[in-house]
Amino acid sequence: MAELLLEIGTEELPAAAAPSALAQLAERLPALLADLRLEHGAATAFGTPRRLALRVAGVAERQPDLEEWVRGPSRAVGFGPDGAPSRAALGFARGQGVDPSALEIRPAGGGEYLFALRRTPGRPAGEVLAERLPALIAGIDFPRSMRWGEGDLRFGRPIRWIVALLDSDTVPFVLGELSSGRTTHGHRTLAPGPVEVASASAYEAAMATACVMADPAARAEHIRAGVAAAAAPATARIDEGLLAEVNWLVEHPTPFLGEFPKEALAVPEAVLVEVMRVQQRYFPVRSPEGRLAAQFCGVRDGNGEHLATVIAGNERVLRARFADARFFYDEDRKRTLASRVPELGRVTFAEGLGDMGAKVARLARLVSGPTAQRAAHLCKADRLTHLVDEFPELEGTMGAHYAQLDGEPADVCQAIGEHVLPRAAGGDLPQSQAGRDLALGDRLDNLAGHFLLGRVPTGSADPFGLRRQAIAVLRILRERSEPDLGQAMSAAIAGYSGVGDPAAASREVRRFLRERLRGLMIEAGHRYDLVDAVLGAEEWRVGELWARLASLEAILAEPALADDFLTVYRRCANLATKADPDAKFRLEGASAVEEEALGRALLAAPHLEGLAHARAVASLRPAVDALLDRVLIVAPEPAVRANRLALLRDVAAFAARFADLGRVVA
Amino acid sequence: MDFQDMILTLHRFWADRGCMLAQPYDVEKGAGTMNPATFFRCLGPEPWRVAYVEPSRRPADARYGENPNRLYQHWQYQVMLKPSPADVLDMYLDSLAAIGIRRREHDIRFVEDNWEWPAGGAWGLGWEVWCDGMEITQFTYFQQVGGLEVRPVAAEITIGLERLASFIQGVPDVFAVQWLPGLTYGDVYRRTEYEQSVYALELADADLLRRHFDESEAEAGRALARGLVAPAYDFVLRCSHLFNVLDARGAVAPAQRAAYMDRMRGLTRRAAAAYLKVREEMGFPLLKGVRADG
Repeated sequence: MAELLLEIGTEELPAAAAPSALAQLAERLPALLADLRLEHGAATAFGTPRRLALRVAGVAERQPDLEEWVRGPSRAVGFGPDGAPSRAALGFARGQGVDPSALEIRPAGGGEYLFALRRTPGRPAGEVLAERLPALIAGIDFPRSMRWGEGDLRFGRPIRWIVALLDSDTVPFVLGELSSGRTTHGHRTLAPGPVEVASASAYEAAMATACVMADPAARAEHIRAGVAAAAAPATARIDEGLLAEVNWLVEHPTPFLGEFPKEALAVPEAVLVEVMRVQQRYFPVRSPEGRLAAQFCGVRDGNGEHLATVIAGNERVLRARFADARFFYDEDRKRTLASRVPELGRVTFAEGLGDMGAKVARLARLVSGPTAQRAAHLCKADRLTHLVDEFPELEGTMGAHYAQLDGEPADVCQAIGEHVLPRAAGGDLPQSQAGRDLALGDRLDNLAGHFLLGRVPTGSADPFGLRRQAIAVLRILRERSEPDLGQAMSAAIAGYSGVGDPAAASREVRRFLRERLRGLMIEAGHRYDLVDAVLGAEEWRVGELWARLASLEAILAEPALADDFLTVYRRCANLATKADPDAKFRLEGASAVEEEALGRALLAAPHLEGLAHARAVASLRPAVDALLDRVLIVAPEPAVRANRLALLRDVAAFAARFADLGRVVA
Repeated sequence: MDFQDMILTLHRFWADRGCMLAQPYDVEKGAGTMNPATFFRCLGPEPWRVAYVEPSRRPADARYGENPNRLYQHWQYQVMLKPSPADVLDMYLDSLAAIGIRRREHDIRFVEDNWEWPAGGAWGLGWEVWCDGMEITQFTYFQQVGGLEVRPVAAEITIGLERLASFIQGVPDVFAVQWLPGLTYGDVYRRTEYEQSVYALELADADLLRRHFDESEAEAGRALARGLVAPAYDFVLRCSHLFNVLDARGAVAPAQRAAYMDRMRGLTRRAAAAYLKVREEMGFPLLKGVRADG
């Protein structure tokens, strides 16, 4: 058994793409070993911006010999009338490298055929790996790949070296202009130059000596702990997305604490946080009371030497960035938000859907009440400010802030700030009625416009982020039965005139919303059949649909009740399909005692919700059983038959009035 | 190290690595990439190594000489190496050391940044290079220019000289950068910045600029029709600059922007294709000696 090490040495890979590339390597190299019939043990992945590496333990040193029976010509073709092997049989034997006398006749596929036992001797692991590793490396995908130098190879960034070792032996192969070997490179600054890796097992030690923390998980924890220590006694909240990015920007992280002048805090906190996070990849620092401190945590790729120079440089850059933000903030405040609204006509809303001015006018028609109206008028105007232009993530936040400075009422400001919520999956939802109405109206208008132009997202392509917007709508409405989503969607579609085919758009967008809701319910762990039952009813109040799902589950959680409830439905529904939809059940038309009893029970049954409804339905079971067991429903007399079928139809409809119970399995 | 010493040192450094030291090209442009020494020379199979200082005009960044970092015009130090050598990043880091930025004393990072110049039909992958948190260089492996594949691939290094100089000299404001002892950047350029800002942001006559754009486009087309790449390209550059002034002036409506972009992309593509055709007819003369021993 040997240890296999493959390291792909590169120029700095994009932080966003490197983890996926490493995951591909970690998946495909073991798969390749399996394909090569090389037994192997566990794999360990290493990765930094400049290297993707995988070590696999317990790799067989050679393939086992392979014996396989290979089918040749049929018996009839393989032997002449004299019983001697035909030319076809001799050719087959020669082709398989066996003596004709070694051919065997075996049954296969309903006939008899000549078979040869082919023995493929196993080859050394190094030899077969050398043949296959180049394609494995070249096959790693990146969102954007590139060529370099004079070669045709494509990768996320140029490959500059390859280490391929089986224990201490190299696995020699050529990829483009590179030859694999045992030479890697250390940290660009702390250990520049070539480093020899003696054996696969010596990789971590070689990396450590060369000042590279090669284990990405350990490196991330090192940064997390270092940032916390640097910030103490204050705290730096770790934004996991930022940590993941920073982790793939460094090979030897050294977190540090920097400061900025307190005067910078005069700019809204959200702006400062955005500058630190997005432009500089710093972790903002907060006092124990949660106030933003005039400090930041950065992470140097290097050691503690000359750290003061690095900190001073970073502080200088941040001061300049804050000065820029301050300049934008001051410029933005020279005009009121309201004064910018007329200029929205110059801003494109979306290709083919006009400008933001028209968008705001439509939005105002979708909401009611003075607060929501005023907020609708103002909510997009911050797109014309410098700060939102510079930091699109601040849309809404800056609008609310500037509106407040302009003296707009507090509820209007809140609604402006909330109209962009939720910003991401799982993000905060709008809290105020006006904010919620605006957030809904904005998304429904987007969905309406794009669907009117036939831009229905497909499996992989959703360039306008419509899936995200649909999910935002459904999350906002999760606990609510107002407004009715179907009506709200129709109103949004009606807001556009002369665009596309409203009927088709309405059909498509409703199906799209239904599918998203189904996805959300199933993701939340609910049974497929129950979800389908609930969504099978013609109902568009989202909160109501979730409540019905909960009811159905509560009913099924009581087995005796569920049995009676579903039996009533199923026994009646079976025959109900035969009922004339226009026929009415008439109590006075009941010609059997059981029929009259069930009819009276149904008319008396209370219209309740949830479990109470299920009990009301279940209480009909004796009457249903009695009728179906003792009375011929499909009676010869048409009037009798029609009355009884109509009764069963009404019972089934009563039972299923909140969900399509026919879809419930079990 | 003062501003002109920095330029002299970089010139010496890149000259020692086989670069032709070219001179700025005398038509207004938004980036050093648009100098014909890069835009055309990165096309086709011929090798090329060049370094030069290029004035880069960005009317939208005009700030009346009041912003410490944003300028109507700044100086770019531009290096283009084709094919991109295997040790190009080390060469680049050595060039920083030559002007006093030794990597052990700083924090130098290569952060993904992909370059795109839609009007030039051009894109490439690379990084913005950070030094102690400050972007000091744009490094790009050209993949496509003028709508044509760049093959072999060229590496482009673009350094904003003012910003790097203010970093090296430890001054917070580009106008305080020492050009040579006794003379600052502000002494030379602050007034110019003010005047260009007033013009670009307030005074420029949009109708006249639009007319000039149309005329320049037409003239580029006439020159291309005769296969005259160089004069055609001068008019292409003028179109680009005129558009940038119109844009800074707020005179380009969103609906018009795409149309202007398409027109410029069309011109740059035609110019690039015409250049390549001329070089091919000439037998790619700079290939001499490169393939012969290969």
